Amino acid sequence: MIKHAYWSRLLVIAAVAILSATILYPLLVLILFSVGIGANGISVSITAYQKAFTDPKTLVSIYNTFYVAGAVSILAILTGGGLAWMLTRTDLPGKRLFKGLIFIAYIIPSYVMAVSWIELLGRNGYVNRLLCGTWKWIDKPIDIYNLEGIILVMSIHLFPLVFITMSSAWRMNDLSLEKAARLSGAGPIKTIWTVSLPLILPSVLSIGLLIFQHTMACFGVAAVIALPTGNYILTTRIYSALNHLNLPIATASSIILLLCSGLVFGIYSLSLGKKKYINVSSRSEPPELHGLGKWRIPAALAVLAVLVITTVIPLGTIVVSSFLKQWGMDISLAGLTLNNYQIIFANGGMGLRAIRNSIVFGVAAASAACAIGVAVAWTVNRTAFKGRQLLEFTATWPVAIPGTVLAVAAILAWINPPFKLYGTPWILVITYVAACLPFAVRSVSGSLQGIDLELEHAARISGASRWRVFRDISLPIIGPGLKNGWIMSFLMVLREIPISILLYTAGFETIGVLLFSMRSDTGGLEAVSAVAVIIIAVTLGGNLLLERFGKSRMEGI
Amino acid sequence: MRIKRKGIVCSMILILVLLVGGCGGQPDNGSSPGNEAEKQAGSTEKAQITMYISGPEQMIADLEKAFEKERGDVLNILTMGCGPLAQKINTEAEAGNVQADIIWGAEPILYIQLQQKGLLEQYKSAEAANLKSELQMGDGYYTICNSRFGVIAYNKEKVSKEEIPSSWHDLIKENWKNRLAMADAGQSATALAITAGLLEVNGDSWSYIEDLKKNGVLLTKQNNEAIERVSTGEVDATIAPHDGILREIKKSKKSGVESKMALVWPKEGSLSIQRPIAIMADAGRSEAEQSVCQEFIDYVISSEAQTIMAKYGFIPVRADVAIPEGVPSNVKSINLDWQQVASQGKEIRSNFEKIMLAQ
Amino acid sequence: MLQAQLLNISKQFAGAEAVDNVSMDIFPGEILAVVGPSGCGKTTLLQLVAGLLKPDRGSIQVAGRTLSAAGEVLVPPEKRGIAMVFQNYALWPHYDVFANIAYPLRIKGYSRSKQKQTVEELLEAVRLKGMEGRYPHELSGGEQQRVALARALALNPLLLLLDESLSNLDAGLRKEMREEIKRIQRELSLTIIHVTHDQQEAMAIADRIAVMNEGKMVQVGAVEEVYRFPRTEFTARFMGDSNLLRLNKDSPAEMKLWEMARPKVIEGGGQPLQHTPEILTVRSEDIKLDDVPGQLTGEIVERIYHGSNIEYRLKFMDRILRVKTPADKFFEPGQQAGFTIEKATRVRADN
Ligand SMILES: Nc1ncnc2c1ncn2[C@@H]1O[C@H](COP(=O)(O)OP(=O)(O)O)[C@@H](O)[C@H]1O
Ligand SMILES: [Mg+2]
Repeated sequence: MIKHAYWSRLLVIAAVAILSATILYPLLVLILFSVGIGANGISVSITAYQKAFTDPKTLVSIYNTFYVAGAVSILAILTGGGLAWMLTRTDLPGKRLFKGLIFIAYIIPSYVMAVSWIELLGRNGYVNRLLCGTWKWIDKPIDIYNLEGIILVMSIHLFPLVFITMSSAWRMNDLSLEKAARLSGAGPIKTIWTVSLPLILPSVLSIGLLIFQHTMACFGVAAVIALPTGNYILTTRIYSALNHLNLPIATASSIILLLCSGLVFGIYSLSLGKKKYINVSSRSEPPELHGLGKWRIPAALAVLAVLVITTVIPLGTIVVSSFLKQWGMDISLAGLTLNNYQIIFANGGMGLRAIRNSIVFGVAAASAACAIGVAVAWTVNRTAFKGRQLLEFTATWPVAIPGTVLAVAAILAWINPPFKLYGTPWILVITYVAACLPFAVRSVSGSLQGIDLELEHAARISGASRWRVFRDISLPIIGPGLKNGWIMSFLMVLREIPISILLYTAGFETIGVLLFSMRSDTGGLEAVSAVAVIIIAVTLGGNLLLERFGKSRMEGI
Repeated sequence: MRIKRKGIVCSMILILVLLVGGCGGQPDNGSSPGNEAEKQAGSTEKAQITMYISGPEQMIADLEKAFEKERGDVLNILTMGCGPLAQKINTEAEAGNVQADIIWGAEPILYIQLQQKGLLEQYKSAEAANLKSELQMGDGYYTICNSRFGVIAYNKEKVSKEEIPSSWHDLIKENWKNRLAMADAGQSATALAITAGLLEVNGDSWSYIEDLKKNGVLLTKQNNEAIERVSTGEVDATIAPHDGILREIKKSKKSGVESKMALVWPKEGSLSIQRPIAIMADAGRSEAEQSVCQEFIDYVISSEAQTIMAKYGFIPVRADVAIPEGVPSNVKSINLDWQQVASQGKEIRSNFEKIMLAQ
Repeated sequence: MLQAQLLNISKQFAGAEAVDNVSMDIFPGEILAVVGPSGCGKTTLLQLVAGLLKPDRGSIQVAGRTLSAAGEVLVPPEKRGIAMVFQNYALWPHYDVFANIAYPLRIKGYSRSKQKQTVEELLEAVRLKGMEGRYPHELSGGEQQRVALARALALNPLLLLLDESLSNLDAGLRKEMREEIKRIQRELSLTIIHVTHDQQEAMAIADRIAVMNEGKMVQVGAVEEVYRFPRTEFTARFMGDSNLLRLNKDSPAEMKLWEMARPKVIEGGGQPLQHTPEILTVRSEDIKLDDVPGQLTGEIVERIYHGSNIEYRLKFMDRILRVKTPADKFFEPGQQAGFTIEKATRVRADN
């Protein structure tokens, strides 16, 4: 590589500084506290770790966690990847509708999604009422309160993420490679299996890892679906320890979670090896679509069926519930009301304020995370600094940490002067940024790796400085990836609950706080559904607005 | 192409400016508490105290309004569940910089622990003399400001007349299999208290909890979730604090549907769970703030505040305030030794989790 | 005065020498073709010249300025005034043709109207008028290549580097573009380093040829000189259809051919070679066929038409010789033919 130019050194310093402040410093403080080095004096002890590691419940939780995360990753990849292929590579009809539905599935907060599935498949859920009661098709109600229930809900919640990532991977794929395989005598299925899939394997593994780690660290869904029947996962234990003032045990359990997550990361890195061969070159053609022939309509119906089950039905349930006088009641005209929306907006103006705050925080955190993501991805992929891989590793770390633990770490880190941010909205933004970074970095890094280096070289030759190359060439080309990362981050902030509740200050309530306060007995689940409907409406509205103003050529979602 | 991209950037900037502008414009509308908090940071003469509260929001709003009527905006209230409250206060304590002046809303267990850590300030309210004698505890480090009963709630549509439970022990009978819910003692401190109460009822034996597990009791993260599951027919009965049940019934009425839920005061006795309030030990408070804290404690146990809280189903701590509608006057109550529960808390939780952990 | 000078340039990748101690002079206004099989380090060499890679050793000077030296890039690529057309063209997919070509002008801060005018001139030069608004993926390979050339020319470079720029084109277009490049080069008196693995193309386009093998510069010289007087076995093989003859006492065929060729050796291209083992190389067109048996006689085993000439495989004892004749010389496979070697050159054996 060329010797580090002044500004690239600056960039690296900035990236290191920001990552240290948002991620490393709080986690370090947390770990120090957990072994007894904190504000209340130093009394080093690792008994918490011994306890956490030897508790037999931990083992069961680890097993459950791996089972759930593994199954969710596989299911989400199969569904999201399959849909991505159908929607980018074939002449399936109704693509716009399908894409819209998938996007909506991604907007629905996982917690609300879980609740709506309980409304459907719970012991007294609508579906069970129909199947067991009205139609008498089955004797025993379908049971959702188990690990498979989490798997169902989390897969539905996360498959859109796979869809978004893999759509761009499929799009980048050079079609001539597939044609070559066909000419070499491979049938269409064999071509996909032997050429197309291996080509996008790096993206698949990368997004699979993200989903695995994200699922491991999730709690909200587990709390309503698996906790009821005593199916504990690691995060259940972390929450339990935190609720009972046992910070060391909570931290130790988080460390176990991190180790598990690190293990998966290790396997991922090994299995990836040197397989980094996606290339956007100047010759990327507009993708040519596979004709489905007589399968066109059946395929569309199948896709529709999948999306109806995963998106339309839960969405419909949420929307209907938001107008019900009481959540889960029999649906009839007499049972409808606008009251739930009134409650949200009455609530001392908190509802509106929360929505506005969340949007502001979301825009700020997503933009910051994307900017840092670009700096990190650039450093890792385009410079020769020693230890640059560590940067990406650090930046993607928070995905494996439950929101509550991030929030607790943030409190510990930012409560005492001179770094007193606790009690100001800044601590929220910083912690959101930490939570968003993994998504931003992964998306940007993925698309940056995909750029043919020659495109950047050509610009340097044309007289552009490194900065201009970045601005004029790399940035626009990674634009779609960046946009995906931004949207993922933004939605993440919009739906986030635990960080919000622990870190908000009066006047800076967020949607998470609103969801929570509706959840506690002011509004009930019907008001929670109304909040979800508002989130969906705001996001869709914003997206439409953006699309109206600029439909970029190299489209993202 | 270039122009289009500029379009995106411009519209994004526009949205940002609008949003931030909207936010920046906030100080103009003086009613926002956040704005108050900012003002307070700059001026020393105005006292404002921070409270972490877990409880019904409407009730908190009513109390805040009444308390602030003469004093002006002196309360900076953050509402959260009792879980986050415990997490937040504990984390702040760990960091050696407690931000709250008053915490209110969890079970005595938390307060006992905080007191042991020396984080509570002693304040013996003059009003405390009016408390019922059995509620005079905490030696001024915390003050009981209302109490609730762990009881049984059932769904009238799902439970036949003959089946209506009358005692705790009815629930572990065969016919209740897969029809029960309760909050997880590992997740909720109130549930931990209830569990302790159930142990007490059962002569300190875990067999009752084991039988609940055998009956397939569904666990929830919080108590009101358990109540909600009865109200929606997801399960047929639950063990939960009575005030939440009453509020849920009331809420249904208000939205125009007849609640399917009814309440049982078990034969053996209802589990009495108190809710304390406490002032955090903090050297940094100004005199004015200190007196606001103390006034608030006085206020909360005054008959005015107790009357407000009774409207939300809580049992008043004073004999001179009527007990809420829907609570019989002769409730047999089972009282717990909180010091003991606090010292055994870890063990109770761990046993509970061990029993509930799916096989 | 030299336009560019490379001195002892070396570059390693993962321990292997991709470019190994290369020294080379480039004269103003010439086209120098660098040829070599693929993987021999040509692209690496160009990237070193362009400043996209840091040399491990050696120095690079262009127009009297030292650009890279002692393992450092002294002048970054954007300040070198060197243009390059990449092997894959490297057109920016998010820019249309106009924006691609105008990019260097934009960087230089040309006004919009000046950009427009220059781009128009360039488009005319590469025969792409009216394609300004197209995007790279809407162009054929040849068109993309010409856009890339136009973009490089927009820089008005001191040195133009072409990396296999014609390889992806079909034969007709390749010929056309070759002439185009030569024309433009003459008009603008450009200095060009043209890299290719195709020796025909190199000979057709270049004033001088540099032959590379395994990172090393094997021979540099005028086109004809390199062609006629290869100095190594590798050059001889690579530059044309040569028959290599070794002094091998165990092979009667080899000995007979050697005896026939030895007297015909011409010493050209400077000093005679003193290397052993000595190898003689005989071009296919330097063997004359006769329909009557001659001094030596072989059997025609294969005939290949090339249009203007015909190539034969001639079996002499246990050896097959390649022979090229004018199109009017006609032999049937199986026919006996006498042959004589008219010219031979001595080359150094590769080890
Ligand atoms: N970035 C790189 N990393 C490692 N090896 C490389 C790299 N670029 C080129 N090489 C190796 O250097 C040698 C020369 O490559 P190159 O200059 O591209 O050859 P050519 O252009 O002549 O085909 C090849 O063996 C190639 O594998
Ligand atoms: Mg090459």
